[in-house]
Amino acid sequence: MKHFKFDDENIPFHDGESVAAALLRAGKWRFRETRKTKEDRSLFCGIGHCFDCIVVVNGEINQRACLLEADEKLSIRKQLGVN
Amino acid sequence: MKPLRTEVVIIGAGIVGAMCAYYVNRAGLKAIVIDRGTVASGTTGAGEGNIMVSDKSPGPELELALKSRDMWFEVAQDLGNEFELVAKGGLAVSRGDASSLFELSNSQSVAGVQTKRVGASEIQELEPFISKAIQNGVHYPQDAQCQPMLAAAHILRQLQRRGLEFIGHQEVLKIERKSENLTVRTSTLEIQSDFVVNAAGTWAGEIARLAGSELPIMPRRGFILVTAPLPKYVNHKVYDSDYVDNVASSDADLQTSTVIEGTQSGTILIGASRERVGFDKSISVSVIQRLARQATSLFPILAGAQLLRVYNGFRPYSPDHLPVIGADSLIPGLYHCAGHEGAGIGLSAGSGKVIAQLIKNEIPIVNPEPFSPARFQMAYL
Ligand SMILES: Cc1cc2nc3c(=O)[nH]c(=O)nc-3n(C[C@H](O)[C@H](O)[C@H](O)COP(=O)(O)OP(=O)(O)OC[C@H]3O[C@@H](n4cnc5c(N)ncnc54)[C@H](O)[C@@H]3O)c2cc1C
Ligand code: FES
Repeated sequence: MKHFKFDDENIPFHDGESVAAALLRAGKWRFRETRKTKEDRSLFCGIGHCFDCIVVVNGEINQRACLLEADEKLSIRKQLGVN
Repeated sequence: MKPLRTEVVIIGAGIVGAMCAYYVNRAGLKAIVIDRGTVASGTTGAGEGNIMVSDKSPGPELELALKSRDMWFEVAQDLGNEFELVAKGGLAVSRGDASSLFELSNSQSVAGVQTKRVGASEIQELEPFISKAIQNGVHYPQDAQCQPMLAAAHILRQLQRRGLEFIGHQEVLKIERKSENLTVRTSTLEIQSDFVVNAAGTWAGEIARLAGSELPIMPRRGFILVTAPLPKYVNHKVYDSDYVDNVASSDADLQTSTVIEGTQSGTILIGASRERVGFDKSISVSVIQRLARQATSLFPILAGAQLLRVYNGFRPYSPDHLPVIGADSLIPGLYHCAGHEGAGIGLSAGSGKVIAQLIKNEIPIVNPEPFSPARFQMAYL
């Protein structure tokens, strides 16, 4: 199976799967922390509207995990506030 | 149903209605604010929250803006600043020949605006992420910002503890003058009062007509782009100096100029477009593209930013770009406070104060003559 990186761990995925789906299947539901109160956030709307599922992808913040197709080239980090 | 009775009925719970309510309440008058929707369901909930003195040329509007800006801070002191009011300062930049920007700022400083010319290195200090190509600008420390929806809601909530009544979800359908009274009717309510203040923003013309008068207020559409929360890339309200010409223009066609500011929730707001297309709510991709392109050329770091959403609103536009503040020429007891176009947040405090002073027969904080509804009503007298 193919994998992408999420905070130093290898996450397996099926072709065509979203990053959010692969993360949830691997039990990684904490996608990010909110800016002020540092609460955990995960998938919410699942269709690109709410921006709750944002992660850092190859160094770029605010990328929606629910819209992003999983790929071996992705190195993903949990987003902490706006970092 | 038994009619309600009060001294002043204020139609519209946008920021202008809220500020009218504040000063009418301070003047000791009993008042009811009524809106067909919720608080800030009109243009106040569809714009930005800049309280600007920098985008106005010397004249009656600037005079009102300077007073109104300081009054915003007095309101925050009195009711508590629960609406993100902060004097963050404005930065107007010029991409080409800066002579018209400097000419404007010279005349503004004579009129009492604090201005400071800034060159490339000072601009980089004020805005580390701005394009290195920017050589000339003017820093305006008095420019402030608030969150207008929170402001309108907070003001009206606090005023209810001071005796104000707020009625939402009731559309005014009729305004009648009988002997010494004005009667405002909705489908289920009848409210009698001595005075009615029309603070219905872009819809103020309809309210005037319901009362048997006339007021030429029209919509001027504007789009805002909202980014996902970002690090503090933008410190001031930063805008292209051609913005000032666009604001003053009467052209119906699309005009855009770059206006960028951060908010306390981390989003960055990108404007500003102006076009007269009636109440057309549809989203125009070409306007959005144009705004995004202009913004990223001023702040290249925004090129990779994600947009959370895009929205539009309808500025209440009067033919001479000045708000309409004062007594109706035809209907005794009816006052108008509307037509503030793209400056209604900034001008709201001063405008509300003028309305309260006119109702109380006091000398207003500014000469009310240039704002008088009479300038549009002569033909109907
Ligand atoms: C994109 C954009 C950006 C802007 N940016 C700024 C800015 O940075 N700074 C600034 O100062 N200004 C800005 N403005 C302008 C500002 O938003 C308006 O001037 C201001 O909100 C007008 O406030 P108002 O209270 O007069 O009108 P509104 O907020 O529209 O309130 C009028 C109210 O009247 C109610 N109403 C209408 N008809 C009836 C009826 N028959 N019965 C009962 N109620 C009725 C409506 O429901 C509405 O709530 C911007 C506007 C836009 C569109
Ligand atoms: S879950 Fe809502 S945008 Fe991804």
